[in-house]
Amino acid sequence: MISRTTQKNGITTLSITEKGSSVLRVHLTMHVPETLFSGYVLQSFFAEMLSRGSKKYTKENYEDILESHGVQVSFEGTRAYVHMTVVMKEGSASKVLPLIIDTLAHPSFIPKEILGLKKEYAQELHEAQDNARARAYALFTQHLYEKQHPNYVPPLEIQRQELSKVTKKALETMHHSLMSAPWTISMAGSDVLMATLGASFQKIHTPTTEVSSEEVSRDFAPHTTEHIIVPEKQNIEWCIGNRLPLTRTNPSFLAFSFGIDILGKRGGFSGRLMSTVREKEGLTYSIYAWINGITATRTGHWQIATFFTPKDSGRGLSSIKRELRRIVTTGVTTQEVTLFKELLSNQFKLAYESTRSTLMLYHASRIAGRTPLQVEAYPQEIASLTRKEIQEALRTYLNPEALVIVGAGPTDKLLEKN
Amino acid sequence: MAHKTQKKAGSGHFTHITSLGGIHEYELKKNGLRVLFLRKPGTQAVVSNIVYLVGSRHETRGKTGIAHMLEHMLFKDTVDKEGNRSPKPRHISLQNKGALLNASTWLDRTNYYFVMPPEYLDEMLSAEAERMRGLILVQRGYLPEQQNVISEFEMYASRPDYVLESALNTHAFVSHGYGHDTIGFKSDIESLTCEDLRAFYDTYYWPNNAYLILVGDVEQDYALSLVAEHFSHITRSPHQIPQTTTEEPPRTGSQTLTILKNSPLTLTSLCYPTPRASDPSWPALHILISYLTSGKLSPLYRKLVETHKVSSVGASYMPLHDPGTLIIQASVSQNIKPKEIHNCIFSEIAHIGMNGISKKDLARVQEKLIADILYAKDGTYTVAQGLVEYVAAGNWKLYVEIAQQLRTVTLSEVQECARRWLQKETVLIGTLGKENAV
Repeated sequence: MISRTTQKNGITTLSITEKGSSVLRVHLTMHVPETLFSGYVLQSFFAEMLSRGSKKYTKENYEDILESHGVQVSFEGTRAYVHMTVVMKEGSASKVLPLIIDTLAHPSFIPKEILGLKKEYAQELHEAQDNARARAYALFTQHLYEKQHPNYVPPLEIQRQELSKVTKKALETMHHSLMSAPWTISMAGSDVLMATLGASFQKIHTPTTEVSSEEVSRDFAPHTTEHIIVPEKQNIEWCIGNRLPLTRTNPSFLAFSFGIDILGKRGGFSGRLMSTVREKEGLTYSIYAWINGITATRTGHWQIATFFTPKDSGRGLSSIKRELRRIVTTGVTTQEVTLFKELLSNQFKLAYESTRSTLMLYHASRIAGRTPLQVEAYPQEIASLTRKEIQEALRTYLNPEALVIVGAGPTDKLLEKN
Repeated sequence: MAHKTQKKAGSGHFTHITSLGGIHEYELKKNGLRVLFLRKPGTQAVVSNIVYLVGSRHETRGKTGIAHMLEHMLFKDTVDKEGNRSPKPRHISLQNKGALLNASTWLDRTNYYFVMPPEYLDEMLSAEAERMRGLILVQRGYLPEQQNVISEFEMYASRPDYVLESALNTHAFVSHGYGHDTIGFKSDIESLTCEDLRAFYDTYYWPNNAYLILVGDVEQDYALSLVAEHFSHITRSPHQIPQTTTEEPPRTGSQTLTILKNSPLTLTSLCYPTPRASDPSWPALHILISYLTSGKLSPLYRKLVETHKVSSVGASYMPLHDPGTLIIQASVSQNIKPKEIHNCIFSEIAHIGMNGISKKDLARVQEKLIADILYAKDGTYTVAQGLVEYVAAGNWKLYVEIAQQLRTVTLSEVQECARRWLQKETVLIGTLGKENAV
């Protein structure tokens, strides 16, 4: 049973009650205030520091209690959010929940730990030079966004500079800001325990700020092609797309999203890109298109991700452009619209296949500004979409002649420059 | 609410083999197809996951990668039981209705799955049965697929960790089929023909060489009646399914391999022989490896990551049908020599062999591993996929029993495992990186 969102003290909580459940699952997201968006490294550094000691627990105590009770806890920081995920047996609650609360309320930011994490982080940045896919994506975002946009990923060199500026004081400021920022919490487990935990979160959280918003820009980024050489790779990772100046509340968003699914639905072979570029032409193992980084208040982008050998890259990119032009000029067919309505509606049902995936569906949607009722209305919303609306949205927001194209890998072996 | 229709009870077509942990095993009398059924009410979904007991272990040199290539071709055209060609590959219809579907090939098995709302079980099983014996293998569909597999090969070959692990396995298995990657050698992939695939398909793709796993929100009688309806017309294989017999000889002496790459990464791995999943020492070994490498309290994390000698350390191993390998891998920090990492790992293993681990550490690792098993029993897909690996390893009941087996592991068994399986004398050491780093 899914309880509707309750709003108290700046925390929005959604509870999925499982009768007889022995497992508690919690997703907690803190919304980073816009004033702190200038940093990229600080958020992920902060998230990692949350597992390195608090007022009442040393790092060793923390790990010992979690592991001794078989608890899974993870933290992740992005520019706009700090996420915590907990999976635990309900029988361990009396030992584990006080630890979780203390971790959030009173992280200790011990200088020795900060220094240690800086060294680990620096090594990770060094190794990240080898990640062609991530480097292609980062450069892609650098062409689409302003430096302080939540979706902008800075160059590795800038991340190194930011890392050197992380201090105890900066972490404490971040913590102070997050304790008064909005939190979104989604839980699954037994009623009593979720109520107890919800009350504990209320006690440590005093919100004064609101979820950030931004103005919508309508311009496409100019057509650009960029290459990064990453040695010792067989394939070139390609990231192709452009800005999408829509928020989730815009009436065209759903229609555009539906059109992008027809173009390159992630997973399986149903999208046009997989059925042509992979299945018919045999140019790549994987090619998908999707929308990224969009919430009820923020715009984002659409993108295609794939890889080709240097030899096939020219043909592969031509095929992608051909498919983009085709979907914009000749549109989508009635048959495709009917088919994707059934496909998306059934896949929505499958999100309820496990407690884990149900919780993720609701939590991710809620972070993006959708209420549980809006989430549940998705099948009806797509059922009422028309072919005309989808084509109109694609023609307005997808320009095949204005693409940001970034390739990373053995780009020095490209036969032709694209 | 469980999905049910007016179909007659299907259990009459089956012999009940055994039941454990809510999972019921049946054999279809007509042809020997094994069925594992687990009802999961309230999930609003059902998984059909068929496991063929054939993987890259069954391949020969010159034809490596054939099991995986065939897996790709099972998404092509088929004929139905009357011999009529289906207008398009059967999975497409299910995919267009929103099925989550895929397939994978591994050392001991190849599996194919659909996840759908329960009302589609009939169509899922019809499609699965049709491609068991009705595959059409023609050159026209094969050539682009061959290119896709080569693209997949190159995707893996771009990953330094994959390159190193692959080289280690090649050296670790001189005789046994685990010694080549599931994807195969590139020249073998390029030279495989439709005729090769047909011969492989006709050898291994039979009901008496398969387990059909059904997990979800459907009633058992209904599910079994559908299995009987769609699979009963298929005959047993007209031949004995070939079994592999090669055993890897014991490794004598430590070995070292180095791969020079112009990569910012320096990776190093220690590769040890491990027992098959059915070996009585497997649960203790599982605990030993987890103690050693998993989590921030593990000795290798504390001695290597916390001291900034490596950025990460972990272990790769899984339950297998035959004796396999454990690979402890680390990503070495700049200005640190891999040998220093090896010595630290050797020292920790020697310490455990000499002194064992503490009672508290044993309890902690047991609790962690058993909790992970509990969490992975959520829903339908992960349960079915968990069963796949134990089916392939030769005993699906281990999926249910492993938690209890872990619970009863003793301190002396863990210590004995360190002495028996993690011997410095049999280790294979691999390192990848720039010349001045390795």
